Amino acid sequence: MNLVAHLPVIVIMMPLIGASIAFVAGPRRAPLVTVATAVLTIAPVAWLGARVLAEGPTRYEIGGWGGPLGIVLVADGLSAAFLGLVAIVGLGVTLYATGYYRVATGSRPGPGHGLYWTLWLFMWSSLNALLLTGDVFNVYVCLELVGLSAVALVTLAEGAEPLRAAMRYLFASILGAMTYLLGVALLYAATGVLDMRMLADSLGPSVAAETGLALMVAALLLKTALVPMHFWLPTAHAAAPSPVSAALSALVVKGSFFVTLRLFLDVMPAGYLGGADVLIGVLGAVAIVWGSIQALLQERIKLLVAYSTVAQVGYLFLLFPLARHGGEVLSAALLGVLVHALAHAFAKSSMFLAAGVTLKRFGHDRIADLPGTARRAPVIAATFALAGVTMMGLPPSGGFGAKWLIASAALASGEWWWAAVVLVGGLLASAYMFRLLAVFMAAPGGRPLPVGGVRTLRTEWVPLALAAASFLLVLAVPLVTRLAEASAVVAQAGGVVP
Amino acid sequence: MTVWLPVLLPVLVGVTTFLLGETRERLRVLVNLAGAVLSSGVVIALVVRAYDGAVAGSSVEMLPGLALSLEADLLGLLFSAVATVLWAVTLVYAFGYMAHAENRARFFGFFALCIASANGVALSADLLGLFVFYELLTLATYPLVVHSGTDEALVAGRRYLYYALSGGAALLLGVVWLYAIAGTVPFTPGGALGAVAGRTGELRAIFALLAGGFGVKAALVGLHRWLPGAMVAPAPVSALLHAVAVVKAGAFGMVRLVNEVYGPELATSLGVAQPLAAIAAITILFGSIVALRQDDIKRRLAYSTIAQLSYITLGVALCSPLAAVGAVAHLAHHAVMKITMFFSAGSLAETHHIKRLSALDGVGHLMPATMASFAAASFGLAGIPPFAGFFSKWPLGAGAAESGQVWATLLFVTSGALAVGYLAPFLVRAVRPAAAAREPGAESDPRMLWPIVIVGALSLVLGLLAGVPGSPLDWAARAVAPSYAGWSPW
Amino acid sequence: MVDGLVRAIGSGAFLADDLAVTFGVLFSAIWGISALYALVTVPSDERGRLFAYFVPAAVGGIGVAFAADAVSFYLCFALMALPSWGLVTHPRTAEAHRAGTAYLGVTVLGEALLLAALMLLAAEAKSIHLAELRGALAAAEHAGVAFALVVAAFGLKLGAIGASGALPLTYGTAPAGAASALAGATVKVGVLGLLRLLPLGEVVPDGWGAAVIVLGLLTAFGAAALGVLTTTPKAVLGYSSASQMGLVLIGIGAGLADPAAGSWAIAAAVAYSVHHGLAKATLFLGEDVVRHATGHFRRLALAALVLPALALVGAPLTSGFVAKYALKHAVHDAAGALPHLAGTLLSWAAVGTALLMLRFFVLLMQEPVDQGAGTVGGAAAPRRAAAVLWASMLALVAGAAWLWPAGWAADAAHSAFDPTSLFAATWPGLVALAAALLARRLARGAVRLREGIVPPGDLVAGATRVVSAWLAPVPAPVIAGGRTRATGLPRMLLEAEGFWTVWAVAAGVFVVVAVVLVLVAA
Repeated sequence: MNLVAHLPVIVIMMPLIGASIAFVAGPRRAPLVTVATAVLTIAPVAWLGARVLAEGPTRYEIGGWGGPLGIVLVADGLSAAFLGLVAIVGLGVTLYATGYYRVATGSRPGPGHGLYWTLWLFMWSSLNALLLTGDVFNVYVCLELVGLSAVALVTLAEGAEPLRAAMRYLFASILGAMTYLLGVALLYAATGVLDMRMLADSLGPSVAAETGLALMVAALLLKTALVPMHFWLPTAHAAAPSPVSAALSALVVKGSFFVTLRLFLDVMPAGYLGGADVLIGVLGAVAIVWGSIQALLQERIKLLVAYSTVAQVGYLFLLFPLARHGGEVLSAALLGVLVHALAHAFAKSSMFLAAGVTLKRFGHDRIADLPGTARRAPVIAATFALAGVTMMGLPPSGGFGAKWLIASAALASGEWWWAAVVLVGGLLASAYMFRLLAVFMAAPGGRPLPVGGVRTLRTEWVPLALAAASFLLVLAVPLVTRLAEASAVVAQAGGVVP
Repeated sequence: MTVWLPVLLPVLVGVTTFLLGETRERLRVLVNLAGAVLSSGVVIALVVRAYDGAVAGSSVEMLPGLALSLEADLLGLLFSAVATVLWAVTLVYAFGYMAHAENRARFFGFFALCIASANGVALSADLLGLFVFYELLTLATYPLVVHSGTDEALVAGRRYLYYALSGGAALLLGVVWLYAIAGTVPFTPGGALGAVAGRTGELRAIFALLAGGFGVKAALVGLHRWLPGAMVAPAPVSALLHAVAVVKAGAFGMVRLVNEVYGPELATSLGVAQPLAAIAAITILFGSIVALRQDDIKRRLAYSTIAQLSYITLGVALCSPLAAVGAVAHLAHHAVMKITMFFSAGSLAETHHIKRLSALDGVGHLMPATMASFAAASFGLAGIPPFAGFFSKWPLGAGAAESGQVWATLLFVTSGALAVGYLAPFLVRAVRPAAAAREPGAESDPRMLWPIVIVGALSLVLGLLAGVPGSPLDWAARAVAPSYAGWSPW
Repeated sequence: MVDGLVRAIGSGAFLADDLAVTFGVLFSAIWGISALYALVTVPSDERGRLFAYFVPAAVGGIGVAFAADAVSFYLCFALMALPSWGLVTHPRTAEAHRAGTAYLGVTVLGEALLLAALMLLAAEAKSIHLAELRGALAAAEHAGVAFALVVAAFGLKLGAIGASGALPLTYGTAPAGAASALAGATVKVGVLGLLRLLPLGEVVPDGWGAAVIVLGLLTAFGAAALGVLTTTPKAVLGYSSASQMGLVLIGIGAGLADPAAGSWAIAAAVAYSVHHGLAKATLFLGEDVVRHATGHFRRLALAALVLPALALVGAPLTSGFVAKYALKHAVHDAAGALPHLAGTLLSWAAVGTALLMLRFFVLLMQEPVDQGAGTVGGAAAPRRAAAVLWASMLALVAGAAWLWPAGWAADAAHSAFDPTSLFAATWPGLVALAAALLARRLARGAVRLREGIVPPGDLVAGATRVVSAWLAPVPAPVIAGGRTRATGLPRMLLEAEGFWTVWAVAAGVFVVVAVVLVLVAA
């Protein structure tokens, strides 16, 4: 059997197998299994990426069954980039979780401990499948799997608040999934195919197909928590256990965004949904401003970070109005958005993980009560500072690269207002990040903070490493560029600028 | 690759300082001093090469088609040398000043990062690099401004950030826009926009954005409000950053912008240089007049800085070669003089708890060497020969006159008179008999005293040697001459 | 074009032409004797403090005569003028401090104007050599501005009308040894500067000469009027200096008005500088000697003081007569109505000077004996040395009439015995004497008033008071920190977000977005 040909399947199966073993292995050995799985998953992902770089997009038909009936997996530069992201952040989250849960429960496994590992690996596997799947119905399946496991993970936190948040999340998840399914049905009725490549060939002017796709997009926007459909995100992300929050904010929202990207760039011809792309862009702009303002007003770190996600997700959707222009504008914007997705994922996961450490060490995450953190917990402060630089889009962080590319694309297209939005967003991000950092730098009040014995390598250095990765992501841009070039859209658009 | 060293060495020092932690004092001193001396050596070596006409350059690709390029030209090296050499001096002072302060590792670490950023600003070969380091400078300075962690410091820090980051955003927009219409714009003496000179509307807007961005750090009036507040920072920060590295980054950006991005000719024909000159002129008057009434010593000096920085902006905005030479020379001269003053202010505050001008009576007898250095710097700032300041003010004024802009000449001399107005009270009070008997005190810690004496002496020496090749004046002349085709300082 | 400025300004240049030597010798003599006088009269515990300022001021004050380029000139000028602040404020009284502030203000203003003038001219001449600056003035692009700056800068130093008050103000508080140097030497730097920068004997734009003549007339008469109305001997001497410098301005104005008068104008300016410098320094030292003397010696000293006073009035066989001789030549050689008018008025100016001298003597005689340091009558050694120094000054004044070129001096001496000029030289003094007696008869006792009609320092002092009041330092604003709980707009925004996230609202919003998307798409 040619292993290389089966890489996409391996990428999906690896975490799934890990999940099963972790379930069987029991709470005591599950962390080890999960770490091993995380490490092992990196290899096929990297291999797949290398192959995509070398040979271009590959298509894999499970069991040799082609479309329209068989399950088709597609690996191109875009999916490779996101898979890589999930693998790296996933590893970080896993390492962190081993420390987090040990700390959380002491020697005795507590609630949530055992199930976490299985659910997390299961979600990982579903996410990988989502990123690789080549037909729109399987997207639905994967979305459901990711959504359900995510909801389950949120409920792992103790207390009533996480449960309420999880219910809200579940509601959004189901609402989205149903709408998406409705859209798929309409689309199938109109075209008779579900395979993305075949869809791309057979899409014509048809009200049913257009309505179906519009519904699918609406559902995906809900799942990506684009303002004003973000109602579920802040509570869910803030209430979940920190490793879960990190994975949700950094990875899960990117999954549904990835599908939106696929639909717009690979499936639909340009302008197929009329002015929808501009509408989405406008919502993205609103999200940047609204999310940032809300982040600025929050009084707890985790809520601040969650609202920051609402804002940062907005940048991703600026791609669509710019993509209309095609050519260099499209490729610059796509690269920018890609870099942004990566940078945000690193930064956001590190911030949630660091917030988790703060909670554990100080017993709370109320911003106003954390003066002097920079002195008592310099690593946490450094984490927030480095990640914050990415949020603000200041050089040399990945966020800067992303903003630069998006702004240049906007200016090159003549629609300078998108560039203005990007800059305003950066300023607002500075405002909310420095609000936090200023408190950290403040002289500690007379009151000593409780210092728990939780300062382990894993729980503090992992987020710092992730934050550093986001800070230095500019160095990885050449690689991301090559990956972007290995995706169909950019290849058509004539390569990445300039 | 050598050209990266002035940036990388301080980064290394900074990171090492963080990692060494709070307690390893000796090692920290050693690492910082060694780093500063080594960086100074590298910069000086680069200067020697640049004087011979060999310009070192190097670039690293950052985004597709966008490289982070450094180039050790004379103009950049002037700023870099000022920042790096004075870093070494300031370190010694800071070791004395911060001897009993908290969070020293953090302080010295960020201090080094500031210098790295300033060197990056200085040596960047194009606007992108300049922007990148400009923003880093903002970030690295913030922890130093809020170092004490008091409410006052936090408020000042917040204001600093709002101003600096808004300026950064304007700058970013300007740079992206410029790159969108003109591609990469390497700094080219005399201007690099010949090919797109026809797009006047856009170029004007971009100029406004870029000048606005640099204007924040250069503390143009209206954008200056962060600077007096930022004086809550420890004295070495006020001295090196708010007199040398940070604010000069803005002024330096102006020089690059006018001379080497737009070029004096295009800036004049677009009609963008004149408004900039007008704003700078207003700033000079504003800063000088407000400074006249400040009681808080550091605030008085801060307003003086606001005025003096605009000498540089006005000097380049006049688009007269001689004035530009003066502007660039002033970059160095003002640095030396103002750092002396801030050091002295820090010593007064730290050793004798004197923070207000009205408490200064008789201090000259208490700290003769400190106040003598302060006097030397004051004379320089007022533009009195043979102190350094005169040798930048002269070309500034003569250059303005030469290009027919007599109003600017009058402005420079007026500002000189106002400088006497706001500096003389220091000296007058210092030599006046004290109202109440002062407790017997003396000069400050030698680690603080000697740096003051050295930079104070430099205020004189740089003036005395102004005609010697390698002096800031000569250096500035060589650095500016290429921007004005057909003009030679000799 | 090759521009030498940058390279040149780093290097100072000095020269010793006739002008430089004349002024250099004059300044050296005055500064030297004044220094010795200060050394013997100032208490030993204050000497260090005084000479810390005196020495640099003297170095600058003498060096300025030899400066050949703009930078050296400005350097020496500043080196002389700024440390002089320490001379003015030496007594450390509130009055001295105020005087020092006024002095500093006027000085700094003058230096700023001078610097501007030098910069303008240097840019025009592409050089910094004073000779070339002078050559470039008349034809400069901004000739009018440059000219105005030059005249204003040195006018301030000379105590031209408007700034006349600065002179009495500063001399009033400085120790005698310092005041004599300030009055004798530093004021003359203004003359030197005008001679260095104004192209006398060359064609200059119309109106320049007239402007300077008018300024000179106003100064000569205005300062005399102000001086008569003041109430301390030193203040009278100060206004007298300003008045005399007005005469110099008239001469220079004549030289500007007509190139033909140039050489006599220069001669007059130099002659006045030497003559007035020596005479005024002697008067200041004499005032101090008299104040510290009693009895016979006091009377003797008062009598000796008549010599420099007569010289100032321009009595025959004094240096003042020689100077006036040159001045008259200059004014007469210049064509035009204004110079001639000025020529007519010169004698009346001498009346003013004579009145000032009379006033000076009246006030001086009323001065109480200063008992502070040992008086000469009491035979304290330092005061004797002071008297000797003063006597040497007197000798210089007496001899000064014979310092001039042989032909010229002989000519002047000859004319001194010409009945017409003898009369011309003496009637102003007689008129002044008569006027003084008349005034004494009419307003008996008025001269005894300690508070005069003119406050010491007139305009300058007033301006200084106003500016000083405004300059009183204001403390830094107090910054309050901290952040309270969200209220107002932030509260509203938070509540809006809360409403948004109600389930039903959220579901509704989603439906709306989906519908809109569908509508847009289809």
